[in-house]
Order: sequence, then C-alpha cells, then structure tokens
Amino acid sequence: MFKSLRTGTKLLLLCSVFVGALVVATYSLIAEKQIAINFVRKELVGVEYLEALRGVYADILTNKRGLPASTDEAARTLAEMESADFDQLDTRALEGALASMIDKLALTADADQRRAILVDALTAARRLASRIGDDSNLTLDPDLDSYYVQDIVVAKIPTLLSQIGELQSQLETLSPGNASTASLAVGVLVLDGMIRSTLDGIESDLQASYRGGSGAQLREALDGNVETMVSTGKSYLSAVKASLAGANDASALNRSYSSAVSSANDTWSVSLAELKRLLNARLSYLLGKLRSSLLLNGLLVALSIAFAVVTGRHIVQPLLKLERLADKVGQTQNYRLRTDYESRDEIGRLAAAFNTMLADLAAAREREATDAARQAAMRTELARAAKITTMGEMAASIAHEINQPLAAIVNNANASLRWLSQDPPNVMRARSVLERVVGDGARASEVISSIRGMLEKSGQDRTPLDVNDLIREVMTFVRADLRSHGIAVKTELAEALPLVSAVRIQLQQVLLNLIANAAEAMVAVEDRTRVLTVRSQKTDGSDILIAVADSGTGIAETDNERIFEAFYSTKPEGMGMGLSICRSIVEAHGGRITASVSPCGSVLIVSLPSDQLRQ
Amino acid sequence: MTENPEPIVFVIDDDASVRESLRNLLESVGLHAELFDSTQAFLDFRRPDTPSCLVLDVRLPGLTGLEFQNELLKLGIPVPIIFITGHGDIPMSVRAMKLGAVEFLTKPFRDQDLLEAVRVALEKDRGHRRDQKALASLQALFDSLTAREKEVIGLISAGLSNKQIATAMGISDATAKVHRANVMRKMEVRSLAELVRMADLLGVGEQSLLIR
Repeated sequence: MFKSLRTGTKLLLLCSVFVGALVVATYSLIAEKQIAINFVRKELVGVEYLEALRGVYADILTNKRGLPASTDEAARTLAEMESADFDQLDTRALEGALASMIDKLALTADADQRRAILVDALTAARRLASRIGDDSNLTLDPDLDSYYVQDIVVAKIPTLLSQIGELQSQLETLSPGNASTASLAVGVLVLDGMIRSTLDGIESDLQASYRGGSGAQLREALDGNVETMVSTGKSYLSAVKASLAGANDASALNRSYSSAVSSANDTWSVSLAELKRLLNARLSYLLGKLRSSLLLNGLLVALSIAFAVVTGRHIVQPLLKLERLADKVGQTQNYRLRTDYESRDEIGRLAAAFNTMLADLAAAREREATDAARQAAMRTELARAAKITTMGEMAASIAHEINQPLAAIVNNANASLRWLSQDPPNVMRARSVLERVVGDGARASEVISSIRGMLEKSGQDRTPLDVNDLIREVMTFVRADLRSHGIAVKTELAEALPLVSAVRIQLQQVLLNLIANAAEAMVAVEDRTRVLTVRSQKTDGSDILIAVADSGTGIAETDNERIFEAFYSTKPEGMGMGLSICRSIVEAHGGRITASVSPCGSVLIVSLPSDQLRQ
Repeated sequence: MTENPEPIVFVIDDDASVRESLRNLLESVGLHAELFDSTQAFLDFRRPDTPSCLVLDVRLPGLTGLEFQNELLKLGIPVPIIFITGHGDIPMSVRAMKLGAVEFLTKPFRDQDLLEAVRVALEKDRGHRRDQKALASLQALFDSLTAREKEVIGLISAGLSNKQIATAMGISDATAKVHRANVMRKMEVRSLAELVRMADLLGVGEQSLLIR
C-alpha cells in the first residue's frame, strides 16, 4: 500500500511522523517542567500562607494581654487565609483549631486560663506552620539555599517564637509571687536551653544555606537580621535570668521580649521575602527554560517542515515535470521534446537518461517512417501490378463480350445485304435478319454501358425504379430462351414495393446473370421439373429482396462464399467473373448478395436498400 | 446415294446470336446450316452422308475447339474445319492449320472470307468423298478377282513380263497370259498402264511385294 502512495504523500507522511515525534517530546518536556513549575508555585503559595501566619503570630505574641481588637485581627487574617486559594493545602482543621483558640483567647478574661490558651494557640500555630511547610512542598525543596531558608521559615522561627512566647507566659505566671517557683524555674531553664538550641539551629541552617547558589545575596539580606535576632534572643534570655534572680524589673524584661519577638518576626519576614525571591527566581528560570525548549522544538518542527517542502520540491516537482513531458510526448508523438531539468542527483541523471531515450526514440521513429514509406511504395507498386493483371484479364473478358455481338452484327448485316442483292430481293429475310442486327447492337451497347457504369462506380445515373418493373422487363428477354430449354418460369412479385435508387442497366445485368446461372444449373436436371422462380419481397427493415431460385444441382457448401470471388468458378470453362461482378454492382448500390441452398436447388438473394426515406 | 446431295455447314458456337447470324449468312448464299451449342450436341447429331464442313468456335464450354479437332481425327470423322475465334493468336492458328484446318478466322470476319473458306472446305470434302467413292468401286472390282489373279496384278504392277510371271508363279506362259487377260477384263481396263495405276491406288503392288 505504501508503494502506491505518491512521493509527495510519502514525504508528507515522513515529515508528519517526525513532527509528531517532536510534539510528543515537547509535550512530555512541558509536562515535566510543569511539574517543577507547579511545585514551585505551590511553594510560593506556602510562602504567602506563612506570611499571613506571621501576622497571626505577631498579633498573638505582641498583644498577649488579650485585646479583642488584636485577636479579631488575627481571626480576620485566618478567615482571609481560608478564603484565599490556599485550598490546595490541607490546613483547614488546624486553621479552625487555631481560630477557635484565638476566639477563646479573646473571650477569656482570666489571666491563667488565657496563658494556657495562649500556649495552646502557639502550639497550634506552630503545627499549622509545619503543616503548611509539608503541604506546600516547602519541606521537600530541592535546592540547598532555599531548603535551609524554608527550614528557618517553616520550622525554626515559628518554634522560636512559640518557645519565646511560652517562656514569657511562664514568667508572667511567676511574677506575682507564685509558690511553685522551683518547678517554674526548671521549665524556664528547659525553655532557655531549647531557645538557645533553636537559635543555634537557625544559625547553622543559615550557614548551610549560604553554600547554595545565591549564597552571597542571602548573606547580605539575612546575615544582619539573623545576627540581630540571635543577639536580641540571647539578651532576652539574659533578661529572663536577671528577672528570675530578681535583679531586673518587669518592664526591662518586657522590652527585651518585644524586641526579641519583633526581631524574630523581622527575620521571619525577611527570610520569607528571600525565600520568595529564590522561589520566584527558580520559577522564572524554569519558565525561561520551558520557553527556550519550546522555541527550540518549534524551530525544529518548522525546519523539518521546510526541509520536507524543499525536498518535495526537488524530488516531486522534477518528477512531475518528467511525467508531464512523457505524457506530452505520448500524446503529440513529438519526440523532439526535451526536459530542461539539470542536477547532479538521481533525478538529474534520470532526466538526462530520459532525454537520451527521447533522442533514440526520435531516431528510431525516423527510421521507422522511412521504412514505412518504402513499404508503402512497395505496396503501391504491387497493387498496381495486381491491378494491371486484373485489368488485362478484364480487358480480355470485355473484348470477348463485345466481340460476340459485333461478330453477330457483321454476319447478320452481310446476310441481309445478300438477301437484298438477290433477284428478286428477299426483303422478308433481310428484314428479319436486320431485326437481329438491332438486337445484337443493343446488346453490345448494353455491355459497354454496363462496363462503363461499373468502372465509374458512380451513382450519378441512378434513378428510382420499381424492382417489379425491372424483373418483368428482364423476364420478357429471357422467357422464350428459358422455355426452349424446358424451364418453367414463375414470378412471385410483392405488391406496392418502395422504389430503389439504382442504375437500371446494372441491375438488369445482375438479374440476367443470376437467371443464366440458374438456367445453367438446371441443364443436368432430368428427374424433376426445371422451375425458375423470381420473387420480389419487402423486408421489415425497408430492404427490397430479389430472389432467384432454381430447382437445379445447387451449390456445394464449400463454394457458398467463394462463388462471389473474382475468377472463382464451379464451371469448367467459367471465367469466374459473373457473380463477382454481380456482387460489385449490388454492393455499389449499398446492398448484399447471398446464396443459400434449398433441398431442391439454390436461391440467390439480392437485397437492396429501398428509397423510402427520400419519398 | 443421290447424285447431287445438298451440302451442309455445321456450326458449333456457344453464343446463340453468333450462331444465328452464321445461319443467316450461310442461308443468304443458299447454304444449309445446322447449329450446335456444344461439341457433344454435334457428335450426337446423325449426320447425313453429304458434303459438309464444320465452323468451329475455338472457345467452347467443355473441350476447346483445338482439342475437339484432335478428337475428330481420332474418331475418324474427316470433316474439314474452319475455326472462328474472338481472340486468336498465331501459334494457335498454326497448330490448327497443321492438323488440317481449312481456315482460321478472327471475329468479326469478312463474310467473303468465311464463305470462301466454306466453299473451299466443301470442295475439299467433295473431292475427298469422290476419291473415297472411286477407291471403293476399284476395291469392289479388285475383290471380284480370284486369289491367283490378285497375285498376277501385283506382279504386273511390279513390272514383270509374262514369262517372268510364269516363272515366278511356277506356271506356264500360256496360263500366265490367260490370267492377265482375265485381270484386264475384270478390272475394266484396256491398257497395262491403267492397270498399274489402279494397282497403285489400291496399294496392291506393295502388298504383293510384302507378301513375297
């Protein structure tokens, strides 16, 4: 099936398969890149979320004394967070828990209860941050810098803030001279250690992140902040120790607390911004890569199409041109046409071979034409020779035909002269003999005019004539002669026949010839009556039939067709001209002559087209 | 046998009008013509014993005229033949003349030529018939001789004298003389020379020599 395809189609197929492969490759590339891009986008969502959460933290920590406004602010932020397109992160339950705690915080007046709720709220917030980190892929970040930054942002700073918040609330429990100072001191100590370890973790994370791609930029943006955060954190811890020792007053503690919180908050904010920057850089890098890949693939597709088109033009066009030329040569037989395509490739060689072939063909054609001309000349020569031979035969036959009546005329004329020159002149005999002369003269002239008519083969002298009249006429000539040979004559003429257009003398000749043949065929018949029947008839198809039937010896099956050939005779001394001439005459009149054998004798039928149409 | 029988001219030609015209021509000079359209019809015809000749068309259905001439010679029918033809050539006419044809005429011919030929042919036949008749009567005389007398005629025509004849036959001179006188009487001759000529016509001389 592939074989029968056109070359252009094949090229198109090849090209489209190639383009298809490219498209599939491009699609998978896009899909892969899309995964990475979506990954980054999700991370960005996480960053936004954390930014929002940062506000909640700030609200919780800075307004811990429980102003409804600040808790309202936090609740509103949370509600916004919910309504924003953070749906992709599975944080609803945690958000709800956090929100309810914030509500509770706002509604609760009792300080102790508020502190407990505050610690729970901070824990919930920390969990939410961690969940955000997990669900937004931030914790799975593949790059060194952004990974450690996200660790700071997602885990470390919220932890730090929670720890600081918890420590502060414990200290507040402590301050009015509570009895359980000892157990509280242990809790403070534990928290102090935890905060220090968190700060260490932040620092080590930061160091690790500097080893990433955009370390220098990170260092510039974060170094100062983190340093500040660590120092304020540590000074807050010192303030806590001093406060526990009773050396410090509450306001100093609060001051250092709020500066630690705000510094951590700032660092968080800057880190988030940096993380956002890193992620955006990655996103734009990925998008740029995708674009350039797409551009490259598009370029490849365009190139392959262009190449296919060019190839097609260089293969298909010349082939089409050759085909058209071949067609033209076939139609016009003009072998001097040539193709003007030139190239060193296969098609160029094919074109050259085609031109050579055409040149050979032209030469062969010329030879053939010369041969044909020579053969035609030879044929003409032969035909002329054959014609001369036939003409010689014809001439002898014609000479004989004319000589007979001429001899009779001369004899009769002499005889009548002698009758007249007798004393007394025998006028009676002379007259009867002269009548013979007239008859013979007419016969000679008929022979001549029929020969002329035959040679001219023209329909000029044709006249519309009634076949029945013709038959009656001929029968009057021959009736006596036939009777003298013991032949009974019957005529069966159809009435009201249409006329035929014919040369009268020629049809007479045909009829006479057929009757003479019929009579001759009956000479040998002794055992039955010799009957000659002449019939006229009209066929369904407006042809006129003249049938001459005899009760003679019939025609041998093998002779049936040949009797109409020239020089074929069944008679020992026959010239073989009679029926052949009859056929020529009948056919010249657009008719046919056929012979058939009946059980008693033969029937020769002349069919002539009637003149009906012209009447 | 009538003394002056009417001559007959036989005509064989397959063309009826030519046949008829020949009859007209011949009848115009008072000759009787019998017409035939084929050679067989002529052979079938009971020909009367009368001077006659044959006008024969060379081109005939069945045998050609020349072949028929041969046939007639074989059958011993010595009728003089005048050939007529539509297109004769010299070899054909030479052959015909060699076989004894009287004339070879090409159609259309002058009537005098044909009538002259017919006259010649009839004369020839007449002469032939006359010779035949004379010979027949001579033969009848000869047949009336005895065997001895026939022998004597042979010897006489050979030029032998009475004495020699007597010696040859072993008879006496006188007997030889008697035989000779009887022969002269029976053969109705008066001179010896006449007898010798008759013996010649009859071929007796040769015969007797051959016998000897």
